[in-house]
Amino acid sequence: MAAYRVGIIACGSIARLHARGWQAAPDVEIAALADTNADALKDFGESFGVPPEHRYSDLREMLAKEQLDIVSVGSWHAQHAEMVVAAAAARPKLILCEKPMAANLQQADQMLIACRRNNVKLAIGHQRRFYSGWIAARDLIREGAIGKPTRLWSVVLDGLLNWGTHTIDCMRFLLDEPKTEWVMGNVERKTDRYERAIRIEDKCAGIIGFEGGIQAVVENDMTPKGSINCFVVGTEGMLDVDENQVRLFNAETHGWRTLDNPHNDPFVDQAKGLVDWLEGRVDDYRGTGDKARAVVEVMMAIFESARCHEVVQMPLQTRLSPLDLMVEAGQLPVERPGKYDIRSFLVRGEGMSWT
Amino acid sequence: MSDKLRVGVIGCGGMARNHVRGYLNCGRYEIVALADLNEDSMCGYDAEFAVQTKHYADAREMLAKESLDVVSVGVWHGGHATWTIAAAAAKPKAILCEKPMADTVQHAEQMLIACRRNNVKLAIGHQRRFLPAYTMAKDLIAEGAIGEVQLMQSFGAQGLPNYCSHQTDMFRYILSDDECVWTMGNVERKTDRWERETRIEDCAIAVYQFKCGARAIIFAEVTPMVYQGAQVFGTEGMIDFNTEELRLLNKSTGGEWKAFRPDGRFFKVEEQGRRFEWVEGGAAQADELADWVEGKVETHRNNGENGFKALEMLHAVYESARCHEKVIMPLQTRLNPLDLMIDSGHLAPQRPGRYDIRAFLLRGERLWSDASPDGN
Repeated sequence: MAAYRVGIIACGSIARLHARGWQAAPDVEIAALADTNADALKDFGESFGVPPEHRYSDLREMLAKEQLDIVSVGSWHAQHAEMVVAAAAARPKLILCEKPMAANLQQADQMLIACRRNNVKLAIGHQRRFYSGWIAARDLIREGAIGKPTRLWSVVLDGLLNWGTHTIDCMRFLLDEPKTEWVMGNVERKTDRYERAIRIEDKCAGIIGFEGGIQAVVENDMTPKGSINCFVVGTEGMLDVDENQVRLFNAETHGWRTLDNPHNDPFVDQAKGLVDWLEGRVDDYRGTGDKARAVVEVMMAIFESARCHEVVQMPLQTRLSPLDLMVEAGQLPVERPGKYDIRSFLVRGEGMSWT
Repeated sequence: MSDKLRVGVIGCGGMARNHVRGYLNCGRYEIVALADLNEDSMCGYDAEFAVQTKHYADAREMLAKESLDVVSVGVWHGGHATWTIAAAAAKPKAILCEKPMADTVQHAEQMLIACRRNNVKLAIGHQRRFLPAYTMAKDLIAEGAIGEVQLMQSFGAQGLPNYCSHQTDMFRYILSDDECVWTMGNVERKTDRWERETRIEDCAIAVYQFKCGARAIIFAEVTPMVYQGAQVFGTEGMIDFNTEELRLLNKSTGGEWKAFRPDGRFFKVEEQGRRFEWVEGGAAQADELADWVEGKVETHRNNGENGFKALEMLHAVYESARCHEKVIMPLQTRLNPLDLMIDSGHLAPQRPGRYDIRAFLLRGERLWSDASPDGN
């Protein structure tokens, strides 16, 4: 019998990636599944060899019966808090919850509180922190390869909470978790756009003031192009950070030098990293809930800046999503009515939403 | 009679002083008349520049009597349209109006119309286009010295129309007058802050995209950093320049910063120090205006159309804040969107009490306006 029994809550496409990681990690077995959709449960169980008696329609029943060491939460954002809090109450050793951590800061804090009071390690699925290119870029910045970093720039698509969480997390990873001092930005939302049942903006641009005079620019859906990567400028060079590839420009490279790093599966490395954390081989896991909360705070602060027309000085005090507050207060009326969800295609059967 | 261009000045304050210094330094103008509500201002000009001028309390009288070749408009922003349009009606050869072009896009558009229908050449005083470091940046970018421009940034202060008008103009200039395609930005205005009788924000940010794909970011009072100039990041290198110096980092510099201090056509950086940008910018701006009037060049780099676009880019930031949107250029809203936001109660000051950061420029008991109560 494996040392770590994993239970998976919400057996969708992201949970499959978690499961692939758990399969590759040492001494871990996927022991139980929970999902309200019978088809999803059956398909997932068959794919990953979980027998019918360990498949549950009620996640709390699974948590009560299965003596899990690890819980993976793969639901849509709005359910992250509820499910993580429920899982934490069952006191597994560790919970891995998919990104974005939560749909607002209040929920993120509830997840942290629940895990702290039950002595559960909480990780958020910012698995890109394991990409070899990101690690190489962080090390180059640490070594001073581009002097002092001053400017970061990312251009993403499909909602700030969706891709933006990774890119802001990337910035924070590359800079070794800097303190965020202020945030200013704006949003456009003329259509009634949702992503995984959460209201999202049509377009968004934000500027993040990190400590040390570093400013980062994040654009979402401003143009048809985007990628979850980062361009970093320093006082002595530039760095173009991709998943496995890093391009460096400084006094020693004679133009751009491409540094290819080994191709790796970040979901596998994430699962292995979590086992290392469980076994005490790392003290500070790179994708903790605390680090993800800092990302939620930045995203919400961009919305808050739009809502209040201000430079938002951190820490952010508003616990609800300022985008929701704006829409509900009539400050940001939909000009082209008709709600739609850009992830509706993930839903099974006749549904258009999981939540 | 002298073959020099006859200049009359409307509004003899701090900025027109730089126009006059430029006219005299380039040697192709004579200052013949001044119009101002304050006689002391005009006497001060005569003494400072050792010129003998006719003084008018009524600028329209000056325009009617003096057969001017060139009119300088140096009043505060709110008066730019009034006096440029009045000057245009008198059909001088050219008008040099101080930046920002106007207080609204509507007024700026009217200035263009008035000058066009009277066949008057209009230039706006974005004199930094004449700084050799700025022109060197433009030329390096045009030559492809840093590949394709990806991102540019500048740090402003004291109101977008005031300081950042130079920066929107600068971004267009160094991209060889490429056009802005869209703007997204935001403002904070918790105090009732004005600059030269124009409402301004407490702080702002702006993101612009140009046709060539380049982005520009303006940070206005969100960080302690403030200067005129820019950092430009391209696919093949970086340029970092201010009003006196340019640094280049690309393959040809071995990936290291190489500094340049190019001299102007009239003055040297070393001799002038911090005054360089004012004296060189003023003289070269005036010189090119004379060339334009005399048909030696087809246009002036600070022509009214370029001044208009610099203003339009600023008001697009306000419009983005007002409407919560990515503003697609050209800007359709003709009034000042910041005024609209405040007047509608959307952006009420949280700390009441109007103040003007340029109130110290006024004379006597004036604290709000450089105009007379009837608007003249």
